[in-house]
Amino acid sequence: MNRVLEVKELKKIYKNGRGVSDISFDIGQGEVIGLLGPNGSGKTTIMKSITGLLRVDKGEINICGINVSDDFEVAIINVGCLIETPSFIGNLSCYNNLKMVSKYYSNIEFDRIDQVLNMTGLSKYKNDKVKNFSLGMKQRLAIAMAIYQKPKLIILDEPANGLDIEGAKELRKLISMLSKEFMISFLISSHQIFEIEMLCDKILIIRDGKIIDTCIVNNVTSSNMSLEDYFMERINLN
Amino acid sequence: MNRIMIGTMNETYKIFSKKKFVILFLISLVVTALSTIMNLLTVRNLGAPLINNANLPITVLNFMSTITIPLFIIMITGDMFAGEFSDKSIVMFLVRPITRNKLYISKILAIGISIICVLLGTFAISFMASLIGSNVRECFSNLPTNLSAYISATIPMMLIAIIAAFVSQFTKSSSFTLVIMILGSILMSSMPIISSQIVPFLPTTYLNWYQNFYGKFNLLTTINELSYILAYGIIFMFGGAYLFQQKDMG
Repeated sequence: MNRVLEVKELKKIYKNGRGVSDISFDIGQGEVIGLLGPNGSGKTTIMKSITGLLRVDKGEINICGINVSDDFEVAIINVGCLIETPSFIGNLSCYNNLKMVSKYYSNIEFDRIDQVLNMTGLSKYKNDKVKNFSLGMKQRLAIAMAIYQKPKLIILDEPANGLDIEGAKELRKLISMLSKEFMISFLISSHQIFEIEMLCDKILIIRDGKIIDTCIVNNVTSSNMSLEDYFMERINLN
Repeated sequence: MNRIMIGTMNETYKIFSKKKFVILFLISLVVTALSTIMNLLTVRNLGAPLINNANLPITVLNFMSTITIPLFIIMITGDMFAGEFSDKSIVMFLVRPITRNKLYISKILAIGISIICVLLGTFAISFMASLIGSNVRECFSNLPTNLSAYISATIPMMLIAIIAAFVSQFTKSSSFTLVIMILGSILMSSMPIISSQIVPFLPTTYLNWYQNFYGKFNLLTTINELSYILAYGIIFMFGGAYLFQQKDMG
């Protein structure tokens, strides 16, 4: 399996002494990996480091074999992401926000904007200003922006935040479809353990900025143990 | 397409979609209209205009470039850097295939384009207003000098943008950037009271550089002042870009 993401000995420590260290893992093509951990364990820090939003202190990040620090523009072209809160220009319409993003990807056909709006159920709101959107709709737009460029890796931090039950279900369907049909890899963090259980092939359990366990979801569930119990056991053990 | 060009197009579009930009145009329209009305009233009541209507574009430029345009530049620049970091909308562009240095340059270029548009727009309005008067021939004969003053005003205004972008790297909101810039300019304006020798080394000294282009033109002074502007521009541009590059999106 081709490696889409390789993280080697990643270290990022903030001024307050918190952060992550010794983070190493990789994601193969079409794989869906979940990051699980208590609040402040370092999930978002890992995601931000991969996407260049944070400067890392040490370590190497390769996306599709390209080092992010050496050639950011080429490496990041393969990544779509939604980290923490959705990011957009509020006084522009949904369509114009996507249009601005689209300019960075000349190889993508222009009707892709309508495709992603359709996929995320935003077609009828395409001309509405984003500042008037509900949290769920903003989340949908952020997902549309993350998948626009047909990336090989999609990083989603709490993707179901603000989505209603129907929206969350549609999102899960979309993630499954993209990973199975288009072999897109995912790195997902979520506090909703059932969501991770349904979506992910593999899980990285993080505590205090370190990966304390890596498990295959099917192995855990086939051992008559819920993922929640497994997670609690691992967190308390270490 | 070149990444800087794409970035500049996006950033310019963002600026043009801001209400502040429209308001600034309205202010320039109001200033010009008021000056014209005042002139017409003085002609009717006193028999002579308050200002020569052929010089109206320069009068408007002096007013706009002293207060309104610098304020607009600082607010826009603060929005584009500190503002976007505080509302996290900058993430949308930081995770795209453009390096931070190129994004920084794109933002500065976009601010430059908006400054040119504001100045040329103001010139067009004030020139048309200047025609509402007696000496139309003088208005046209002054046109090249007035236009060159407007075009050259872009350079010191760009310096304000570059300094504001640098200051924005230390602040967490656009309003804080505005406060620091105002306090900084007050401080620099009061420096001559302490020591007159420091005046040539203050960036605020060269903000009326465009005034070299009307009246008596002195090439040596113009080049000398331009060198200071460029030197300050380069220092603050590199400093700002470096800080932008190093900034963590917390």
